[in-house]
Amino acid sequence: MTAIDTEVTYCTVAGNDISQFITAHSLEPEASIYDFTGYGVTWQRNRGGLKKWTLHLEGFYDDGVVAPPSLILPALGTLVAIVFGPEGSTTGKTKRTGNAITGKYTEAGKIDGLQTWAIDYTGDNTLTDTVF
Amino acid sequence: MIILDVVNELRAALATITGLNVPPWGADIAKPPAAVIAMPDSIEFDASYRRGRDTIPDLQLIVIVDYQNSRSGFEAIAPYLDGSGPKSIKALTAAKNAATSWTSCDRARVTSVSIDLPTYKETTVVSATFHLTIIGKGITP
Repeated sequence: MTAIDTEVTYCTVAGNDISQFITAHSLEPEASIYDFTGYGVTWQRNRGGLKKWTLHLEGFYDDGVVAPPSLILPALGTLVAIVFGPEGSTTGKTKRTGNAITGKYTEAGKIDGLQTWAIDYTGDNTLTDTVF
Repeated sequence: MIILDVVNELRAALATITGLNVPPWGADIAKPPAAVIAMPDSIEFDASYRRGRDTIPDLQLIVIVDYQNSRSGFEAIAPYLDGSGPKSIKALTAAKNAATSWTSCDRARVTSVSIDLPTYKETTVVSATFHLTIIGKGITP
């Protein structure tokens, strides 16, 4: 087992590698949980429901054409293909793929610092876990 | 980001200031008025994923001018300290940032300057130490 840092983390959006513009990410698959507790018990009972996933990316503002914001902003509200490699993109490493709606986009900045961007994707259907 | 390329591009930009001597990096002698670039104290790697960006948080650029007396020394150093004008170090880097014309890095921003009256080659000079934050690509294409 090996700890993995973000030096190798890989991400493409609509086929464009934006890894080098990213400074933080959060990939959050989750399942809905339904309470189906009946009378006469002392502990709550639950069942797993539908699954969903979201991906948050953020990084430095860059004026390149295949970098955020030029790449992401025009895609607001549309479905894009996401490929995410938390361990990198070499053969055998974990590969997570799915299609997601381009949701909330944020640009921010302050005095004495670089401008930043952030985007929230909401998955449409499956997040597939395979390998490169 | 290749450090020597960054230094040489900065030196080339400084050489466009009329009358300012820009000796080679690490030269022992600089004839005032002169601009010399120090070795970076530190370099920070991995500002973004996959070797996207590295940072030199404090690259020091020192301008020295002759100090004959207070008045001449102060008047000689002041144009380099100005926020604008033909000898302004801040304006020089800001213009290249605005034009995104650096090739060795993305940005070179003057964040502050400190002034001193050190002894240089056994004579007193006026020095202005400009502090620059440099950010550039971690892997140079």
